[in-house]
Amino acid sequence: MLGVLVHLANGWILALFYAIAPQAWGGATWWRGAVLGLVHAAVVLTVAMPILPGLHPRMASEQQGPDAGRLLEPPGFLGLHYGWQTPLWLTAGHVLYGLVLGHFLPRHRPRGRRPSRSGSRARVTRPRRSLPFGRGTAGGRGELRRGSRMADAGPRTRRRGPPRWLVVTAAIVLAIAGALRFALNPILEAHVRDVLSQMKGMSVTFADLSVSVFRLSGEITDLKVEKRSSAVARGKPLFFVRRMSAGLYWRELLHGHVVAKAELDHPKVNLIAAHEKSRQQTEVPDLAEKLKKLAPFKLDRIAIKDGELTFTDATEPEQAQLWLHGVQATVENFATRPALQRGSPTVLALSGTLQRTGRVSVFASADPLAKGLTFAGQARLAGLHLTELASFMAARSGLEPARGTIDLSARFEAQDGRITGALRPVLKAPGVKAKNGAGIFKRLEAAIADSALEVFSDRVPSRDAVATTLPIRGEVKDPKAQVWPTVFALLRNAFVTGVTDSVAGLAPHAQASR
Amino acid sequence: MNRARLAAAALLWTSCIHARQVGEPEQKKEQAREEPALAGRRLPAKAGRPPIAPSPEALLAPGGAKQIQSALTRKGLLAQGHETGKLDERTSAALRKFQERQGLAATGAPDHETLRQLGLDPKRVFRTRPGADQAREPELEQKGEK
Repeated sequence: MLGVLVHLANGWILALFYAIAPQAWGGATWWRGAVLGLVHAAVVLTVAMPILPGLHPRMASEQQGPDAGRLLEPPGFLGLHYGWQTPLWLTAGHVLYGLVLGHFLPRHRPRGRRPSRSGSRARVTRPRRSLPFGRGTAGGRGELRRGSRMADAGPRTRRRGPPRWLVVTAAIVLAIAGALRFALNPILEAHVRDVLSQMKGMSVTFADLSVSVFRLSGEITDLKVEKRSSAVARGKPLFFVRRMSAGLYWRELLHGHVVAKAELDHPKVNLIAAHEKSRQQTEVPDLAEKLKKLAPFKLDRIAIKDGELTFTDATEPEQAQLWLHGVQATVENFATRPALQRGSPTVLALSGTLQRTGRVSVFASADPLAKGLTFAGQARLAGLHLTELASFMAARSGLEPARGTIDLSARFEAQDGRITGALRPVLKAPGVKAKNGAGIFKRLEAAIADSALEVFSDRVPSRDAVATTLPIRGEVKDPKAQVWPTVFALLRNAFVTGVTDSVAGLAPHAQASR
Repeated sequence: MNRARLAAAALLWTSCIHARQVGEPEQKKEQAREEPALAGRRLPAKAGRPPIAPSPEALLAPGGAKQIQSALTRKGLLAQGHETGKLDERTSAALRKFQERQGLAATGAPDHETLRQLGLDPKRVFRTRPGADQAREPELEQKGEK
């Protein structure tokens, strides 16, 4: 508040400068005022901002080290520490200030011209003309002719420049936009923090929130969700996203629909299975529900760029880990009115990398408004080296894959809650061995399993594939079951079934999956 | 349990030890039998319901894939003359490159946003059933959609 009052007082004092300075320049006009405003802004950005830390008692300087007390960040050169919009809005504000002052300040008379007396004897210049019949010329003290009076430079001269109503309107619009820009962010940030703090058992923090009134978009950076009771090391929050943004579709807005698209840049999910509840992180929090409360619009599209999902099995000593990264995904055409007007299903498309070598792709389409679950899709995993699953297999079977790759193809569909499909894992050039430190029986089992894989392979040169097809069957009777959690659970089960049944080296069996 | 598995594996190995000649023709026949099991199909259409299919190709309208390929060729991402009318690996790779270039999520699958940025009308490329919102007015009202 003190800063605002100081700035206001500065504005009044500097108005005197704006009144006096143009007189040396031919008088106050709107554009001269704007130029002065620009110079003023340049001085503030290049001189005042950098020296502010030396004047403000609670502001850190750029040379200062860490401090226990909370200090304000210094603005830096051009105020760029506060974002690129700072110098932009600062300059716009000062130019507007100068423009308004320059337009409304009275224009003083220019030097060297005497003011005329209004009315009576204006000096006119008119050509002398000869009178008829040789009576000399007329003129001399000439008559005051209408329309011939020379315009004199008096105090109420006609100004050149934009009309007053335009200047006032532009000033009001810019003032409102500027006020919104400065006031909206802190108000929204406080509101969002308040709503997110209500997530049960979770601590939600973010670094910054910004809203653009012109682009109708908002952005949150460094959003982090951590379990409050978690004993997990601080480096593994349950959910983290570097940048989460949402913006309205202008073309839908013109049709009267308030729909938006959202983008998550570098989101990370860390799941941990553990015996102790305090270490367990297996449920992804329903952040979407909370964000829906904040946003007065419906989402029509979500895009994920460079996503990551890590699953750690902390129930076994091997602490096996699955790492899905480089995830690019889109979900489009949520059941909003515009999507249904188009007649489009909701569509999920995903690609990524599993461990280091496995290429993953998933595609599914769904009708989320159908009474029973209705969706269809396919998933593929190609070229995953079996050795990258060594810690998983060793934990469960005492065997480790020694070589080979696995491809996995799955097709699934659900109609009115009944799920069908097929899963086909294909092992290429597989081989297993006993894990390190295993006893004689385990080594024998490994040798037999390795031979079994050899027997069941197709002996095609450079492939030696072992393949089978597993049916997928199930029913979802829960009326509240949702499409996408069901699809993801189905894919997870299909992957686990496909990999474990294949690499175990025994005849796989059909399993019902949900 | 481990010993039971060991015994079962030994029995299996012994009984199958003569089956060493699993030749190429057999494998191909098996693959051909299994392909239909994995092939996707569109779910039967229902009045007022959008089309549902397991692959992006099955959701495209006739000629949709060619339109995408033509647009990618115009952008220089696909070789001239590669208008096969199928969403093959090369088309998918070209789509992925385009999506990366435009700052979109690079899934390699066509979506509405990608098609708009390619200069195509998604309504002409995808199969649609316009007017589904009218058929499903009660469901939309329940969702709070106006």
